[in-house]
Amino acid sequence: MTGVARPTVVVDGVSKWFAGVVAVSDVSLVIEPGVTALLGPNGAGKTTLLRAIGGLTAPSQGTVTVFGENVRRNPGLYRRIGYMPEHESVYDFLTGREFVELAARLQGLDDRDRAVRRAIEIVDLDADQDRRLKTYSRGMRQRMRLAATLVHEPELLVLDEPLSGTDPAQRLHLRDVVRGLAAEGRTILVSSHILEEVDELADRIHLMVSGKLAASGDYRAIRQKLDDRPFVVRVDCADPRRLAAGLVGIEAVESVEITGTVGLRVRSRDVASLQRSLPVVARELGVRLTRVEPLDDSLESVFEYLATGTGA
Amino acid sequence: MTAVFVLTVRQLAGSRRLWLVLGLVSLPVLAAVVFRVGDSTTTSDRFADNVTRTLIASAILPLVMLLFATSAFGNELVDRTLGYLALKPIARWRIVVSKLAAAFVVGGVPIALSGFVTVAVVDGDGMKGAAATGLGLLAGAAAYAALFTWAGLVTRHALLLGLVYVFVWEATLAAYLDGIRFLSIRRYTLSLIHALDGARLATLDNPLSAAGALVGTAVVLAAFTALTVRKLTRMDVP
Amino acid sequence: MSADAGEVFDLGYRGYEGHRAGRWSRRDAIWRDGIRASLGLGRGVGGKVAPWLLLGLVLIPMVVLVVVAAFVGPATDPNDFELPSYADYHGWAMVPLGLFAAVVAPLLICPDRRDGVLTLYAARPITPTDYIGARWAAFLTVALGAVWLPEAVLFVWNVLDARSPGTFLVHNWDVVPRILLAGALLASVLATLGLLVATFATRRAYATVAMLAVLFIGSALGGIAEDDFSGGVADAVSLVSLPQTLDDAVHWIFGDEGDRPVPGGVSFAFLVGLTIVLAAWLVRRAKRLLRG
Repeated sequence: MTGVARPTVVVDGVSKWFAGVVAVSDVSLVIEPGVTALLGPNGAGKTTLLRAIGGLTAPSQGTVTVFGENVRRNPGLYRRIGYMPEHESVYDFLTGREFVELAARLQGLDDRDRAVRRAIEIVDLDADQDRRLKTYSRGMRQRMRLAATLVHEPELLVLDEPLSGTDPAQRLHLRDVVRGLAAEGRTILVSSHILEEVDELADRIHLMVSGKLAASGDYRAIRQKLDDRPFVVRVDCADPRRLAAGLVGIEAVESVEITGTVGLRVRSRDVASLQRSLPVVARELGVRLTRVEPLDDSLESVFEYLATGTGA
Repeated sequence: MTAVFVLTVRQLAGSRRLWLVLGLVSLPVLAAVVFRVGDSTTTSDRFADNVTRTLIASAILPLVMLLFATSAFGNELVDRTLGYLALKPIARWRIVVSKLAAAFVVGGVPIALSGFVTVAVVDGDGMKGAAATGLGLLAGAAAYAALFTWAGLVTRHALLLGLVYVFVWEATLAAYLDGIRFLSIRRYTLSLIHALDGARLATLDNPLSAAGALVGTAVVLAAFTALTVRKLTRMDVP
Repeated sequence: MSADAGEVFDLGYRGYEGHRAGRWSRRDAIWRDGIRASLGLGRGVGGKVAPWLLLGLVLIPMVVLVVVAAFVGPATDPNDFELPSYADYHGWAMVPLGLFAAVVAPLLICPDRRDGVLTLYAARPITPTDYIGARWAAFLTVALGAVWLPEAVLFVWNVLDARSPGTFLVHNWDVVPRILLAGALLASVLATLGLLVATFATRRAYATVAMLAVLFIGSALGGIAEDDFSGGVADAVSLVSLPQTLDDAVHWIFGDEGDRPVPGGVSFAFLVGLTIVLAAWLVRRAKRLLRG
């Protein structure tokens, strides 16, 4: 691999804790030009890590370097960084255009009008720019915030949950915008807690679970591992041992565990065929099912699996 | 820098609030007009002193400055919009000074003007007293602006603490206890007015000299501005 | 399973056929919530500081004074130590109570406005009058409790401390209705004003400062009118100083009129009228907020 000049962001052994909570735990990663997604369930520490990268908060331990400089207490660096925080609040009383103009002004841009016009065009809000932000829908507000974030054409864009509150059409549009910016050689860091959202968006992803970095790498490779994941289904019934004996014979079933006097946990890689076989087996054996429940449908267990290689 | 200044002015002077402040600052002027046309039981000097002291300097000035200055950063913190200012390549002191100036202009200037006009109306004889009152109030407004802007950035309870400072500390303790009278912005304001025009507030108890009052104001202004800049630099921006 | 025709499944959904609580329990619910909010219950330690501190300042000085009186004994020279009169203590009580109205009343109104919760209230079968009435009643309950308690303590002490409590009680039974009336006056004026001011603001801070402005600036204006002017108009303007006017009215209730430009009875009538006007305005504001 040819050496990239220098990675845009270097996070080295960063931990952040407050009030007895460890939000980020010893994370080290490197962000290079292109689109990188930071994924993880809510509370995984994504926002805290992004805030440390953006200089909004100081890490309790470790260093964050952006463009080779310390990002903290270095306002000049913000000329090259565009940061979109997760809070959706804005200055209500400003019009959309005034909001972007404010950002342009504070960035000290020379050709302000052209930059503002271009930014608003990119997010496709020309029609509504003269209305007050108070009257905007949530998705429109997100887009105008994005316009303000990229009005100064920053080399690094950090977007915290930019897709929240957007409908599928807006999501596609934003995806095109982001990919367009990446094609110009910029570095874009996006966070999300919905895996599907970053489909077609990110080249590389970093997964965080409970403050730790769980996985890094190519998006497609990680996606593939997901499809291989075994599921665990909880089955409560009147005669678990008898049902267990019957289920073990099904090919789709990887393992059956008897828990207590009424329950089973069935691991399977092929949920569809388990769905078909389970009632048939139960009826043949004359066992009455009282409860059938997938145990690890949550995103967290998905991430957990990827992080530790084991299921729930 | 002007962008932050204008933004803050717009934040603070929402139309209803502006009318309220204008209403408040016209009260002393109204009282002065009534004094001139009605039957009063006191001399113009004593009346002017009474209005300046009890109505303007001890009530209107601190309350209005408290409201505007604590909101300068307070609103940004509560609304979580501080990031839009902090994530820009501007020196932190520019942000602080702009906000402080906005609070001063929106709150302090109208009050100083009202003081000026009030004394001018009451004491039709020469502008010296009026000018002294206006300038003294400006100085007080600047000091309050610095103190309360800092409080608004540093704590959620800025308003409550500001109220305690004004109505417990300044009203009671600093008025009666000699040792700490130097730590009261109200005292700087009143002393400065008296120092600029001896006829004003002649009954003031142990006033500071002009130098003393100015130094006190300058120290408060400089110290709390610096503290605010320091806090903004070091804090975690919400 | 058919691929094209849609199907609606009967999951056994039922409307609610059970008992629906009446109007009074709706009012009661908002009243209870108002009490909790006024006392800072359910808001963690920080939320309790302001209300408990201020309410404590209303009650505790009287308790302290009574305890001191108990130790000091009946033979003391009144010049050294004397318990305050019922009327005089109200003069102190209105200070923390006024602050309480300024700081805590906004808590009942402004968060609902700011968080957009008012529309939730409006979407329920509760009338604006009921909503604001319940809020007002809640705040008033707390304020009345706060102002009546120290007076009750004083009265009870006076009864017990008398040579013959029975006779004392018979001769002074009229103190009790006076205490009730004075406390009711104080509490209603401050509560109504505090809530009304709060309906004009979305941020609690603004409401607090506005209420204090009314109290302090009114006091300054009233003082100026009284000190520096004479004549009927000046006397009327002096009523603007709520603290002073309240004090005069309370003294009148206890039959203790001083030498004031405006007779105590007039002050009392003015305050009652003012409270009614403010209450009507408050109801109008509530209607506007819950409809808008």
